[in-house]
Amino acid sequence: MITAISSRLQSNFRLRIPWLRIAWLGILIIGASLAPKPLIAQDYDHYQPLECMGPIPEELRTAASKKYERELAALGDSAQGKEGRARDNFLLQSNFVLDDMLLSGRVVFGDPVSAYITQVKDHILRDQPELQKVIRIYLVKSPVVNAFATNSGVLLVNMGLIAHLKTESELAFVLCHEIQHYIHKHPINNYVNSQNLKSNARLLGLNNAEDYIAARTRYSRTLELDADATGFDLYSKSGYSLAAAEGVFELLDYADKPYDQVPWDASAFEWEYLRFPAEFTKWPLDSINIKEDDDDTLSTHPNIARRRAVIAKRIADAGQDDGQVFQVGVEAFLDARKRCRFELCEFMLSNHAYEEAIYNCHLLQTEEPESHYLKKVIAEALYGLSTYKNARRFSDAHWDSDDVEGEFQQLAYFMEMSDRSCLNIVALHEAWEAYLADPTDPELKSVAQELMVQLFEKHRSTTEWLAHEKPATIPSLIDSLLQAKQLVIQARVQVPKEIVEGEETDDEEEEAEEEDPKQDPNAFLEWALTDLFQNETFAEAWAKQAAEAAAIKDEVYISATKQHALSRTERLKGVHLGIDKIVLVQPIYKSVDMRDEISVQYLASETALETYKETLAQMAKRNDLQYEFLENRNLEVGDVQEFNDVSTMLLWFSDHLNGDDEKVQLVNFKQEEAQALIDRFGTKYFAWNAEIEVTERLSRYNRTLWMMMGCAFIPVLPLAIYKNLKPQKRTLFVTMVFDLEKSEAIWESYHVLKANASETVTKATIYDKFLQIKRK
Amino acid sequence: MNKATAISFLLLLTCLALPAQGPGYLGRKSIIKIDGYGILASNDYRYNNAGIDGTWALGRINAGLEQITSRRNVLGLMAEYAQAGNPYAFDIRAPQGTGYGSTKIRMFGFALSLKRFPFLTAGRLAPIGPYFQVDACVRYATSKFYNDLRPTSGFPIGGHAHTGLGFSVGYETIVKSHLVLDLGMRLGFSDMRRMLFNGVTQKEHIINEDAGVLFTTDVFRLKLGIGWLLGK
Repeated sequence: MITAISSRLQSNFRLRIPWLRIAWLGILIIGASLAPKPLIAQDYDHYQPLECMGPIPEELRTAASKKYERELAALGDSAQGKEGRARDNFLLQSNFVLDDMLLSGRVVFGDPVSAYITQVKDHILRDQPELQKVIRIYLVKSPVVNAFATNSGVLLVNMGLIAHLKTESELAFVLCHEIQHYIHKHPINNYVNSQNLKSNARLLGLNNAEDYIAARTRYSRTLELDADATGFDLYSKSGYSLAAAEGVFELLDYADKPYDQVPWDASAFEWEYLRFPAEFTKWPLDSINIKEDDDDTLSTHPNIARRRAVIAKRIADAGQDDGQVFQVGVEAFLDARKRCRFELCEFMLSNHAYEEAIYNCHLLQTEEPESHYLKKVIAEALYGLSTYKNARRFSDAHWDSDDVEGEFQQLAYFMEMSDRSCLNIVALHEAWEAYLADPTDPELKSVAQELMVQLFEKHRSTTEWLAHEKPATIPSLIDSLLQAKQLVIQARVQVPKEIVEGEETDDEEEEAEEEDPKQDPNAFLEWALTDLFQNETFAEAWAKQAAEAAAIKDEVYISATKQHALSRTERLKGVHLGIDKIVLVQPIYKSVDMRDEISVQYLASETALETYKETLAQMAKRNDLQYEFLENRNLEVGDVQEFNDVSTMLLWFSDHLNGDDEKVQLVNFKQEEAQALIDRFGTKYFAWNAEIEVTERLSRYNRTLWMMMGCAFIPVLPLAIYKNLKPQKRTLFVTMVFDLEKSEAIWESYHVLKANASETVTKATIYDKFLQIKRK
Repeated sequence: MNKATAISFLLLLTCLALPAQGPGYLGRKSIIKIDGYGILASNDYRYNNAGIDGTWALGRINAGLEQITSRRNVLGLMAEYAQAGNPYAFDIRAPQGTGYGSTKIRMFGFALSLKRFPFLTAGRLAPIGPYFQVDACVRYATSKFYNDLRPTSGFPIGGHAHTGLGFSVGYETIVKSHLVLDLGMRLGFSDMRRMLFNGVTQKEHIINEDAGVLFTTDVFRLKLGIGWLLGK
């Protein structure tokens, strides 16, 4: 289960943040705990995500090329020779990759949590003021339990790590560990070592990729153990409890699991007239199985057992332990941790990890049982699950209950047992309850309406037998439920289990459901919505939807789902969007040469980006298209609002792209943030533009084919040689226009040119795109 | 209405029927253009009464205006001018074999063309990228004979009007912000047809049939064009 959840989380994260690959640069995982007074009070009933605050740090305002040049100059003579070139390459890549990360919209600074972590760091380094200044902390919006140290002194701490902490001392130990990575220059040494191994592979007897990886990770593991040992030395001087340091390893053991285990059952969605059959509950649950001494031969980190042993010995050798678990403060720690746990909800929804989101809310409800925000997240998560299930893509958003352990397994099992109509009704009920509690919330309104549309669209027969009035007496209800349970059991017995649960059976289930509603195993849902029918708003919406459903044929729904696909005419002749003003968000220009050791041409791309932006501006003007750039590069120190705006937009785009599945059209959950941007910029249209140039050699297969043809037909030989020597070039132009108000992409244009784009072609392409955006 | 006129008319209708939504290059839709053609010309001994055969290159210049009518189509109206000399002519007024000299031919004409950029790859904007073109032309040619003894006084030997239909492939690109470069080759439909039906030696006259002096083929041309985009 650990592996499964971990890979799921990491793959999701990697999808959206490719720069996580920086991990191989030699950065580490770790974790920790508590703190002082919260700087700003948070209303957990209406939780507001963390934003950047205060002045923008210098490194976020400086071009990566300048930072690279600065660090390269600091290398001095050590930049010479073979190892020097490796160091140079490392500095080049690490600076640009780190810059991408810092400007990705996922890094937060100046917020209460960052401030708290900085306080802990300052406490640890209170006797080393110089180092205190050099080490800069940034909080990363990521659910992964992780922290990174970079060569320049930037320490990135994931919110997932803070959410999992038990004590402040754990955080302190993590920071000590990461600080050692910086002090001993582990990232750059690790890179240089890996380059040495690569260039001397034959000499060192590294005959295959596995040998090479094993040799590289062996060195990496040595660095980790070194950072653990020296980090503990620093930690032991910081006044924290020595024994508490070991808690970090327990945290790592459970890094892939929810931060707590609190029983969950179907009663979370029950009310007086909705009781789920016993079948919906799994018993017994699989207990959590932790293995600390797994094989770490190919891992960058030693296994936890080895690391734990090193630290346990150090603790034993240190003797008396008179340190404290909290140095900065319990209250601040709890506040920081709680904020990060609330933040997890957003990540989970964004990553379509809806079941995790519901379980996370369940954990948080032990502290904030009445939080409207948590109810809203649950409603949105159920909406996501229901939408995926209705679209027969449930496996894309669901954990197989056999693959998970602990209390979370119960939730995954419940979702498996709920068929499409059942889940739709449950989601509808939760969403409408939340919406009626706060009718001003635009996201809940969209979700609630969308779920009702889905119910009528996908399960019309179900809508016909759902009761509108509560039953006269409770006993009759109980009898019915018992009867329903019996029907469920019969249905399960008649149909093999694997077919019942498989997606392929969805049609058959629905057919059975439509053929004989009285035999519906979901009969226990008959009174599920009776409380909502008492509400006038719901009853009106239901009646309206029912009337629409009766009047509209199925084809309308189908065409609605296809509205994003451009017609052939539109593809050939272009579109007419009729937009007068547009916001150009964080344009991207990348030049990639696959033949080079460092494929991304960082320095050239940075320079070309400025030209690209100028061209965008120039072409917008030629089309009389009003435009405004929204980007977080080259901002002034006080432009934190702009920085946050860009972050909001980048995450909004990311959410949209993450859910870009033709069959699963989801409502975007960041509508309030989107509306704020619309108000600020005076337009609801935001566009994302990118140009990516790729140069690569012809594939080996094609090269061989050409040479064979050249040898067979001598006149073709010159052409074959030419084809072998000439690099292949491609340029990808991307323009995506979003309507923030409707939360949808109204135009997505991908255009591949099989050549490097000249200035003329780039201008022509951009002009063409802006023309289509502007013309009516 | 002869065939070429009908085709030209249809071409025009096709272009007009297209929605005028072509952006051109940065909104510039009109191109002033000069095309230079190289044609392989030959003298056919069976027609010049001299039994002299020869092959030489014939140049031709087209000048005119092209208008971008849609994202992929360009309509062109060109004036054609060609001037050529035949150094192997005999004096048709003198007894056979007793007088010889050369002929000079001037040809004027008009051509209507439709250029189509079929691949939506290079910027999706005419006029950038590979193209196909069909054209229909109407030409009138005049010839003069120059006896070697009287080189300054030409003897008009008649004029001839004819029509033609061509199919071209080529590549066009913007070299600078206004400068258009056009490379292509043209196949003459009418000449091809004659070659197919009458054999390769039965080449079409395009300059002057009545005079029976100079005959050339117009099956294959190479083209180099330079254009200037109008607009700021």
